[in-house]
Amino acid sequence: MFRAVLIRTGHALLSMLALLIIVFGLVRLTGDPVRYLLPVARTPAQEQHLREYLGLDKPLIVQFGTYVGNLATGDLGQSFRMRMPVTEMIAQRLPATITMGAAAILLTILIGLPVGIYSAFWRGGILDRIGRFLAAFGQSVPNFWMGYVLILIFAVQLKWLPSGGYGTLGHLLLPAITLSFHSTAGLVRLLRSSVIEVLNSDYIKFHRMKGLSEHVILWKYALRNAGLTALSFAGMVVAALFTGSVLVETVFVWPGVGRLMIEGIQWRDFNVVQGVILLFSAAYICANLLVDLLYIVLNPRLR
Amino acid sequence: MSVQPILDVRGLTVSVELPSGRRAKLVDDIDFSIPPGGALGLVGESGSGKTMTSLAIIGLLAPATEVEAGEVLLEGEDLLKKSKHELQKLRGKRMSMVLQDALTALDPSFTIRTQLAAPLRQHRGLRGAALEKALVDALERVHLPASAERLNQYPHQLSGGMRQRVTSAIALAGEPTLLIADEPTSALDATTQRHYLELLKELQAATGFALLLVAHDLYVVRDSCERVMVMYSGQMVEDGPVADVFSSPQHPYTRALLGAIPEIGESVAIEAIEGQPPDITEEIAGCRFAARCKFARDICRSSPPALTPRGADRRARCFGTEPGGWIAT
Ligand SMILES: Nc1ncnc2c1ncn2[C@@H]1O[C@H](COP(=O)(O)OP(=O)(O)OP(=O)(O)O)[C@@H](O)[C@H]1O
Ligand SMILES: [Mg+2]
Repeated sequence: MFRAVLIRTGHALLSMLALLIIVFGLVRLTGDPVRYLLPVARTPAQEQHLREYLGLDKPLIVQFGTYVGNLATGDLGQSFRMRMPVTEMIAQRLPATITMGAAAILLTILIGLPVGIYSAFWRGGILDRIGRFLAAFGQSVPNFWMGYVLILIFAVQLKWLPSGGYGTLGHLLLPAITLSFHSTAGLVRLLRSSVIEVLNSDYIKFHRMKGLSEHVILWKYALRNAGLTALSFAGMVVAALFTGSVLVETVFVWPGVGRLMIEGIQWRDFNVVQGVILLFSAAYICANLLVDLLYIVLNPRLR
Repeated sequence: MSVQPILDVRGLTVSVELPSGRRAKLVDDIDFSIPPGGALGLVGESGSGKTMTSLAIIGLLAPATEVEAGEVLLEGEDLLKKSKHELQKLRGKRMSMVLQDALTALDPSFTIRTQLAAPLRQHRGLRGAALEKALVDALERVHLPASAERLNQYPHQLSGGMRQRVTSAIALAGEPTLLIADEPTSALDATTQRHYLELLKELQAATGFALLLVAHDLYVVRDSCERVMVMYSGQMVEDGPVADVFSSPQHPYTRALLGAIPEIGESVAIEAIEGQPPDITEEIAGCRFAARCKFARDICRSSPPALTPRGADRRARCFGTEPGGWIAT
């Protein structure tokens, strides 16, 4: 068991390295940061000087070696534009992203859990039909579109909530709802099908024969068994939250790491882009490891 | 007739709505009763409606199926007049059921303790030390060795026979007056089957519940029950005291079932009878067994026989064995 986790971690680190190589190459294909950092009236000598200063004149392999070497000491390099350590920039932006992500996860659970469970319980009923429609809708509509629609309704028309920005609970609401839409829809669909399967099982029938109430059967026994299936997809939900946050932060002018990456791409700020992507993939790997461990803890057959 | 039966089923009819819109009877006008401490065997081929009958009694029919007519009296109270909630309160406490598949009846995600404690708490109000003692007692009563350790194990850590024992302990935890055991041994091997049936008899002797034992092995019924009822394609075809039914079967189907039993009494599948039972949803003009019956005459194919008495406490559904019939019994 412990060995399996170790092997997983090893694989994960290798895929992170592969990802880093790809990103490292790709950002450098998108353009030359020097052209964005220097004013239009510039001389070739100035350009060359800046390139040397940033280390971009060296061969790609040397640049990569230096980067990985620094990475080993926890140094993600300097931002070309802001002239400050990337780690520091990420640290500044991280709380905003975590706040939004946590709020989205909370919403996903608060809405997705009961809707998924009850649409399985009342299969074919009104709640089930609404739930299934919302789930299909939520999974087929892009996040940013959803965001603009919510802004249009709640900020522009009704003027109940701000259309963007950061600071209060009111600012958090729309982006969190937008971000949670996909994962809520996913959770509803997944939970619905696994609860339906579990409710048809012999052991649930036997719980009924003991005289247990439907409420207890549903929320204790069915949820534990169905949740196990749903849990194995939780890693994907986390991934969806990260990719989603990039778009949602942009739509709602939310000062998080997602937008930091977009800014990094716009300014060809290579180290920033690489840093954020590394952070995202590390978080993704940690989330999946956590899910694996939780799965082992919750599933007695694997203990 | 002075003792009130524990279970008295009268004219029970269960039907299902077919995709065509027609309602088909899956269980057709069944009556039987079980006295306190008595055991009734319910025998029939696969698909004859045994599980349907059991589920109708306990109030857990699948949504598409419903009780169309009849009464199910548990100690005189009609269960069919009770609300879902009232039935739930009765289940596990006054009537209980053991499922067909011993291996899948226990919840894989919870310990034996959790699953056994639920009915002990709910039906007997046990808590703390008393609950702890009752947990161990319940497992010891079904002869589970090392009971205390078993409590903290999960179902997958137990063998099939042990699981069926635990299932029975759970079903009997609320001290019900009626236990329905739906082919409780079909997932077990022959030796384990025998042990389990012995256990069931022993438990019955100790606590005195009435037993409805669904089986497709006639020898199981012969050894464990006083009375037997034979079902074919949703209908009762014969019932009576076990010894009488075995010595002089009054229905060709029963006779065929008995013919399929070897002398020594090892378990043998009923499928040894030639032909297939009709689709239970099919409408048939005459006797439902006629197509497979060696003795069938024209009347059997044109009009349905009724369940008529054969002596004091026996009945059968066959023209051929009625007084003046052509089948020698
Ligand atoms: N929804 C339904 N629609 C039509 N037929 C059904 C439906 N549900 C069950 N049946 C039929 O009802 C019949 C009775 O089933 P039941 O489970 O009671 O049989 P059984 O005697 O318990 O058989 P086994 O020995 O295999 O357990 C079966 O022939 C089955 O095909
Ligand atoms: Mg059955």
